[in-house]
Amino acid sequence: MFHVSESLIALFLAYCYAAAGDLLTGRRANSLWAWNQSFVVGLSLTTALLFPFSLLLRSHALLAIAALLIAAGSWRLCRTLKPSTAGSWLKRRGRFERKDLLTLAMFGVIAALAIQFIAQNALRACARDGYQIWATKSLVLYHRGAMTTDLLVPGGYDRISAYPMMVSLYQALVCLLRGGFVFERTKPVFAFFFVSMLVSTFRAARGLRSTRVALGAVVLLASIPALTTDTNVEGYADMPQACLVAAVAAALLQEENLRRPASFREPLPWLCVGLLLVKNEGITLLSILCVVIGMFWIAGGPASFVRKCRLYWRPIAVVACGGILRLWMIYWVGGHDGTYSSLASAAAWSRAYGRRLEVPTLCLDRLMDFSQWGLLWPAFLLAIPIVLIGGQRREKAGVLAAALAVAAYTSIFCFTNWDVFKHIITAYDRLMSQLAPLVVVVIGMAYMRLQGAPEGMRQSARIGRKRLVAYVVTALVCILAGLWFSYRRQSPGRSSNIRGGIPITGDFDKNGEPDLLWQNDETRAVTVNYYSTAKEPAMLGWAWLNSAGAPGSRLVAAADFDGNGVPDLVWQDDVTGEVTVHYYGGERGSVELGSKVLDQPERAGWTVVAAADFDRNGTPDLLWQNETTRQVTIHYYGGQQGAVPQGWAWLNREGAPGWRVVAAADFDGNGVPDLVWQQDGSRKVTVHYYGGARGAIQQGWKWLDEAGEPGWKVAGANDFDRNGVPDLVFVNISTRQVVVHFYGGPQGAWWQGWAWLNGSGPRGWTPIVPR
Amino acid sequence: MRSFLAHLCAVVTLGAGLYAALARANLDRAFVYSAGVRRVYPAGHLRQVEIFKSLVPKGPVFYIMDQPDYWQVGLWQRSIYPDNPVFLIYDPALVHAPSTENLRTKHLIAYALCAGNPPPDAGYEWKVELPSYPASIPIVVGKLKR
Repeated sequence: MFHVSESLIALFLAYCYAAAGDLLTGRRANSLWAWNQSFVVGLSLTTALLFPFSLLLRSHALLAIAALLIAAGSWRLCRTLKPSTAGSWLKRRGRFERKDLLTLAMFGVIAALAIQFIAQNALRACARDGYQIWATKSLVLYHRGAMTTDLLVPGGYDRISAYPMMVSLYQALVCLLRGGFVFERTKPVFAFFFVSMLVSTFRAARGLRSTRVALGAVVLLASIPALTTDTNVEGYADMPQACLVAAVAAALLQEENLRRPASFREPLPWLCVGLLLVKNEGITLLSILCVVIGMFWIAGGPASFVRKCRLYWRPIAVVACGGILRLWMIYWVGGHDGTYSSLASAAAWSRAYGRRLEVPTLCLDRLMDFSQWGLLWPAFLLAIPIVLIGGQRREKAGVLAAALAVAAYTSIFCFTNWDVFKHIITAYDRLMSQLAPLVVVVIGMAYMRLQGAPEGMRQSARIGRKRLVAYVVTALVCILAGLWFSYRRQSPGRSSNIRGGIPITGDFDKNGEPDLLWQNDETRAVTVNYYSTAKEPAMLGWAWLNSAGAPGSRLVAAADFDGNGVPDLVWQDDVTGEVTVHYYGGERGSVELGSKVLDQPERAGWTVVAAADFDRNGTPDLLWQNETTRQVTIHYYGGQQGAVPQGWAWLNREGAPGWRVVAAADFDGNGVPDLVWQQDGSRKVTVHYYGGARGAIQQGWKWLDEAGEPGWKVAGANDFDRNGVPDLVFVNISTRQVVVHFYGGPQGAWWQGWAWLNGSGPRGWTPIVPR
Repeated sequence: MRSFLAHLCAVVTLGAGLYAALARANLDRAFVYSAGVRRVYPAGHLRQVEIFKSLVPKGPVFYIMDQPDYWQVGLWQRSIYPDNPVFLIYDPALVHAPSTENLRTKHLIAYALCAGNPPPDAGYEWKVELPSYPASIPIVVGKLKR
């Protein structure tokens, strides 16, 4: 799983990138920070060269880049091998040995968090965008040897062709040097981006004159789950974009006031060009940076602005050329990305106006998700006024840039052509993780200002004692409110399986809230995720129900057969179709108590799709559906431990090809479960009401989701919002993210809202909703 | 006092971050470390690709599906690239449309993958059903009639 040879190749390439950066900036990196900055500058330079090389050298562009990098690396190696360099390394080691215990502890935490990132990166497969976008662009680059206007289909346009190439180029170079392309083996490059991001963030925060604060900022950054787990370890390009943001922030905060004209070889403009070459959002980020710098220059008066332009005309020219190159590349590929509406369209602005409250609310909800962000965003919101009032000019520029970027990344969803809430839940955390390095540095700035600026750090405006006390009190109130908000989502509820007269089902830990099961697609191992009883479902923890798995069998339903209040697992054999129930109880319902055979069918093509009590005898019955005709039957159970067959009946004799029963729960409140159907293609959802003798007579039907949810499948139904009406649990087929849609109103068919059940989406696992 | 409060804020923020990280690490124990997905391609899909490659020579192929399932299309497009570039047809009704025929003539496409439940009939000279695997959809590969 740990691809050693590819990791070594990626390390070698990182060295070559740093050498190229050294060549460009005309210096010799002799510290970790300088190495790191040269590495990012080298990445930016070579990625910028790829496009013109592709035009000039056609299919040899990748080879030419590789040759250039190896030449730069060789040059650097020859210079490094001089004996005089050994002494400086030893001196630097001596400096590290003098750190105090707290500093060393923080180093240890950072190392542990970096190791977890690298381990997850090595263990997890490339997920959706990491695979379908970035590594795929690398695949095409590897095979074609240059950038192309199409992707996988000859002559066809694909919107991701125009996406920038920094990550893909690094991946393709690794594959070129190893002699073959394998998706999983492109991943080691992300470890280098991650380490670079941490080093750059340290450097940016180190400008605050305190090593401890800088280390604290890095610990905070490395601990953010939204940045260091999930998609960012699975090959997405958001963390590399954060790496460039950190590098730019570090260079900007370290930049000295020049008295002579800046040269073309300054690192900052090249890093700004690199900002454009990771993801499309780089254009937004660079625009914001330019606006903020321009504002501060203009604030000094027109004469100062002109003087600054004269001093920095060469770096400005580099950034302008980078921007033109990027736009040329987009134009060269042609077509457009239809994810967002054009800002030139009046209809788009009108629609955006209609979303002015919905979008910020949804985004704020994401930012307050403790499990993804901790208290990062409450702390950032608090830091903004503190730094704006008490910070230096550069600090104010940093805060302003971060705040504008947050605003831009939020407001862009007003223009999405996708379903707003789905777009936000799938993309917002990733986008915001790009800004995390800048945000932790801003928090560090605010901390320093609250404490009082240390010696050697100039304060542009002194914060008075009264104002400072007000800030500190507000800080505490905000942080405590954030904590309360987070824990409110996770607070345990009543220990009862009756809630307001409504029986609670699917509750393993008996806290009054339905839980969620997950089954591994390959091993068939099963876990239960416990949820809280707060207004919005929040996960409290998890436990194994079957860690060994059962290849050849599938978990098809979960319901309480033995009447002990804990759902039992119903398994069906893939080949024979035999159905067994495994009883559960004990601590938090996670202890297996035994098993029994429920059915040994001789009905080829029939599978169990749900378990629910149709005949109202207190024991769940098994719902079967034919795979081809989609007819539905109910098999009744009762007797000892609910495992004695009591006959069967048709629920749908005619069948409904193209439609599948996805859940059974009582929507109309008549005590008999109703069938929830979903269409295979459009993902539309209906409920068919049942009643009469043994609950087998259809009483009518209604739409639950007439528009359909392409890409989302109903995983089951249970009452998560305690209104007595079952809610639908949807799972994204690709990402495996899970949301619950709440229902209520007449016959339980009115949509009332939604909430997350699992935003991470553990790929390779399938959710099952117990009853 | 001022310093103490600033420290307290910092400790709470950092502590919350570390707590969130630990909570996530605990969750990841099952979903990543014990039984996470290690490969992009499920073993069952690789078996399907092996059979496909034994039957179909190099050259573009059609992928015809009866419902939008872009993850499955993506698996096929990437796993058989560059030997067999995949042209996607997202509606079985378009199989015999003039645009499809033009594409077929232009790129000399003779083979097709058809996915669905059941897989749509593209009009084959011969076809082979590929073995299913967990979470897969039924799929056949075959040579198209001229």
